[in-house]
Parts: sequence; C-alpha cells; structure tokens
Amino acid sequence: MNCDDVGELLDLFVLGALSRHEVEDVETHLESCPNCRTEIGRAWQAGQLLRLAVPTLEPPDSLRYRILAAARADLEPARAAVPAAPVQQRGSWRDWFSWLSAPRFAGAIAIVPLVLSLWLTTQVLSMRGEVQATQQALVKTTQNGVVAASILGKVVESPITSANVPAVTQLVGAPGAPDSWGKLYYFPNSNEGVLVVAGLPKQSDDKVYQLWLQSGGRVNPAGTFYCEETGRGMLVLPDGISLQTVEMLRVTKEQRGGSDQPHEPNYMWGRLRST
Amino acid sequence: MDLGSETDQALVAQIVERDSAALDEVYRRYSRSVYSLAYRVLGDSTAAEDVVQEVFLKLWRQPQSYNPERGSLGPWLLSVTHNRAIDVLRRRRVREEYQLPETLEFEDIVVDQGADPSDLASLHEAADAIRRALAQIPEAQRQAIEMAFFQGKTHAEISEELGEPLGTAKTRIRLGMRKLRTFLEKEGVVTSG
Repeated sequence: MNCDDVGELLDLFVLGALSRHEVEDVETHLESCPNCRTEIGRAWQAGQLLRLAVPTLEPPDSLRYRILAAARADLEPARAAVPAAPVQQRGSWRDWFSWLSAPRFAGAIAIVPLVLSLWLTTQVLSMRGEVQATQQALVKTTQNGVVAASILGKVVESPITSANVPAVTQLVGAPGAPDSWGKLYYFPNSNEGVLVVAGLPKQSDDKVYQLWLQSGGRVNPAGTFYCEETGRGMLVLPDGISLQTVEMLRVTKEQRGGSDQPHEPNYMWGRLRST
Repeated sequence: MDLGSETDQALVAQIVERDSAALDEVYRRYSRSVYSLAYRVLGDSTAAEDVVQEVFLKLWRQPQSYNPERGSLGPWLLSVTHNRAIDVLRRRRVREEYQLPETLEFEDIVVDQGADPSDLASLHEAADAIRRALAQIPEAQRQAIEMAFFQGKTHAEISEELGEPLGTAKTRIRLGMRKLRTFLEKEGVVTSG
C-alpha cells in the first residue's frame, strides 16, 4: 500500500469504517511514512469533532445519584476493613454464621477447580467478601437468619457446583440516602433471594423499610425490613417470588407493617438487567 | 469547598485521592456531552445511561487511565464514550444475530489519543462549528459519515445497506470528510497543516 492508496482511505480510517484487514494495512504504512502520519493527524481532528455533533440531551438526575452511589460504595469496603472494637453480643444470628467460616465450608471453597476462569474466581472471592461484610446485617429474627445464611451460602458455592448461578443486582442510594447501597442476590431457578443493604438511616419506631418490585407501570410490595444503628439491614424475599419480569427494585420508608403502594420517595433503587 | 472553580486536572487529582465530590463536579461539567453522544450512538436511554455510568466510573476507578499530557479531560471522556458505545452497538448486533446472552463485563477500552479539540477551541465553539459544517455537506455524504461514525459500520456495510456500489460509499465518505475539514479549517477550528 503506497501513499496514494492510504490517502484514499484516511478519512474512512479515522471514522472506523475500514475492515480489520484494511486497518492493518493502513497502520503498517503509517509506521514508516511521516507524511501520511501528518495527514492522518488532520483527518483525526475532524473525526474527534464529530463526537460533538450531536443534539444536546439532559441525562436524568437518577443517573447522577446512581454513579455517585456506586463511587461511594467503592469506598465502603475500605471503611468496613477497619477493625471495629469487639462487642460482646448475645443472640443466635452470630452463631448461625459461625458455620460459614467453619473448616468444612472452607474446605468446600478450597476445591475450586483450577479450570475456572479468572473471572469466575474473582466473582467468587468478591461474593465471599460481600457475604462476610454483610453478616453484620443479619437481623435478630432467627428464622430469617437461617434462610439468609442458607441462601448466602449458596451464593458462595453456586459458581462452583451449580448451574443455578445467582444474579446480583446492585441498588444505589437515592437523594434520601445518597450514601446507601445494597445488593440483591437472587437465584432465578429457585426464586430464592436476599437483599442486603448498608448506609440507610435507622428508621424511627413507627416506620419500616419496604422493597418494591416494579414491572411496567405496576409496583408490587416484596417485604419489609429494619435497619440497625449501623445502617445495615437484610430482607429475605418472600417464598417463590419471581423477578423474571421485574425491571426495577425500589426501597422506600413506609409506616410500620408496610403499605400496598409506596408513599414516600425512593431511598434506594436498582435496575435489573435483562438477559 | 467550592469545586466549581477548580481545573479539570485538579479535579482528577482529587479523584485519585478518592474524593467523590470531585467526581460529582466532573459529572456536572461533562455529563450532558457524554450522555448526548452515547444516546446518539445507541438510540436508547437505558443503554446510554449504562455507558455514561461506565465512563464516569472508569474515571473514578482507574483515574490513571486518563493522561492529562495527552489531551484534555472533556475530549478524553468523549473518546472513551464513543469507543464504548460503538463497542456496545457492535456487540448488540452480534448478540442479536447469533442470539447470544448479554455480557455484563466492561472490557478495558483502548482509547485513541488523537488531536484534542479543546486545544483548538472550546468544546462548545467546536460543537457549534461541526454542526454547521455537517449542515453544509450534501445529505448523502452526511448520511454515509454518520453511519460510519455513529453506527460503527464499515464502508462495505454502508454500501450494502444503501444498495450502492462499494466505491460510491467510499467516495461519499471521503468527499464529505474533506468538505468538513475544509470548512473547519476555514473556521480555524482545526489546523490546516
């Protein structure tokens, strides 16, 4: 390919309109031709400017909250890593989780097949970290604690042993609680799920947090939960509830006992990805 | 602390120090341009929002991927946005063609680091100039350029879609781009070399 050939293709090159083979030919020529490199610099300027040739649109406010909440959530593990002063607590939920770190469970983790991809390994490690970080979120209800421990245990094990891989949906804080975040671990095959949250303000005695499932124009309640002083809370999804058609998760603060429809602005929300 | 008067570089330095308020200020400055470009390429608000989120979180999580010595922040964000949006568009086409599941990972972007419009004029002035330039070239040429740049199509795909010979599609793109460059050079928006 000579300079004339490349000259014919420069504009298509900067627009990304060449085939892979043609791109390689042009790049090979550019490596050894300073004149064509100068020419492509000029063409590139116009190509850069095309990015500005679009109608100006205003992004929704919710996008800003979403991004900032995700950024702040990144800081959360660092905060959580700071060792807290030991607090002697009674109550059985801590006991329920002691088995999560027991040798038999660690043994199960240790048999991660080497053939798993780096991505899967990273996911497993990440999920384990999240599970450990959210252990503190388990509320005092023993029954819920058992169910949650079971589901979160499956979350840790599932990429290794099961085709029933959990979907993880991130929730971010709305203006009412911009520093809050949450994650919903959900098994589509068995319709089991646990929502864990952090950074929510502790509700007053007459209030409760409520999860909503939004699908199209309809919003359905999916359970209530309380937050501890730490801002952490947890909700086990009602039995058999399906998220297949759900587009968005919302968390509001409602009157104690819950509501049929959300009455207050979102404290937290997240969008489920379609697959 | 009022961040409105800080330079982009100072804000990026604060982002490196994990100051989310600096990210918020960068978002305030550039989110319209970034969102508008993503929407123009992808054509739906949900996908555009996802790209915008990925772009700003890339700056937050990998601030070292932006090198101020190689260009200003605004054009870099637009460059990342364009590459990512085109990537999403192409994946979407492949996914639809082969009925593949959606993938969630955000692969690292190879960012082009070409000329920087902000070195030549402000982003707003440049945007105004490029819009006027596009309005002055023939419709068929503009259409071919936009199909390449905003829809990520090759000249062969454009030729097939428009039902025209390959040479015609290439010529339209080339002539259109040359007219754009001539107009922009006259306006002093790009250098004439």
